[in-house]
Amino acid sequence: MVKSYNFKNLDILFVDDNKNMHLIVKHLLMAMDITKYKSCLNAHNAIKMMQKHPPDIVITDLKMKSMDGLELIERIRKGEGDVDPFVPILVLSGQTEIETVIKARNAGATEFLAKPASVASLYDRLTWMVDNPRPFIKSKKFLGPDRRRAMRGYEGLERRD
Amino acid sequence: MIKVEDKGDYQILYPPDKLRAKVKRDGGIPFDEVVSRAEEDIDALTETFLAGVTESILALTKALASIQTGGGTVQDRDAVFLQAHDLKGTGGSFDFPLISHIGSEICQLTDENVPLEAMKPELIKVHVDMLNWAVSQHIRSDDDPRATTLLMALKEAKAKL
Repeated sequence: MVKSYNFKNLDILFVDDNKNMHLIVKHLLMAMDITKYKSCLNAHNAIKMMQKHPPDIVITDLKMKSMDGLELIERIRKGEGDVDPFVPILVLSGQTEIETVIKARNAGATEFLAKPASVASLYDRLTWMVDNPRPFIKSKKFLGPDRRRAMRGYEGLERRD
Repeated sequence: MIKVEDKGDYQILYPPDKLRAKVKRDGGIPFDEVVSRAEEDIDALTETFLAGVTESILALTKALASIQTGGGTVQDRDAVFLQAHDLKGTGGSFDFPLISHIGSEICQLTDENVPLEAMKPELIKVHVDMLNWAVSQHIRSDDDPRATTLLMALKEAKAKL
């Protein structure tokens, strides 16, 4: 059966310092009927935008000037500026080495998608996030999605310690 | 209301499932239609994308020129890397996987682990020339017969150096 998820009410914030990525992601989301789309070119503005308009999902690059995506994720998970620390965060990055994926997970990312993104891969991650909400772990050193639950496409990376 | 399970030195938190409340599993655009909508949109953006690639190549060439003259800095190397990284991340999404491929090759040659004195600017320049050529000729894929010979030659040159 063909999937027909209705994303119309979804608010998404996209963070990347590459204008061409904005062009792509905007059109991929529009094709999914996601029109409540906001974006910014740096992580500092992302926090400010989240304060004004709390998104349902944050999609962020990792390698950005000034503040990188890992720091942005950590600040969100700390609830900086009263942003929602539980907001699902999808990392969209060209840094696909396993060490980077683990760093993103340990910073508190919910899911990871490798660039270049296609409409099929982005649709897959969004539907996965809707269907598989992850509980959070709160300890002295960490607040983020349960790392014992695998990220989509990265099964086998479950936290072992 | 967040449900909390206390586990001693950590807690499992179950925040409200906002995504499921916002996204319905049916009633949206069927997936097949989402794909065809995205393909049409991305196709229409080809010229805009290629103009952005040309800008990236110019910025990359400027930074590379400093390295070629022997006066380059780590910042120049990183500037080349960042531009190449952006091309790697966007090419495939615009159906130009060849641009992603060449971007990825340049990233390997300008990675932060490559000391400035060990960089091979001539080899990077040949990759940049190929980028320019791919853009001017609208050559999209590694499998294009015009690209395969050049890619093979680059691979051999890289191995020799």
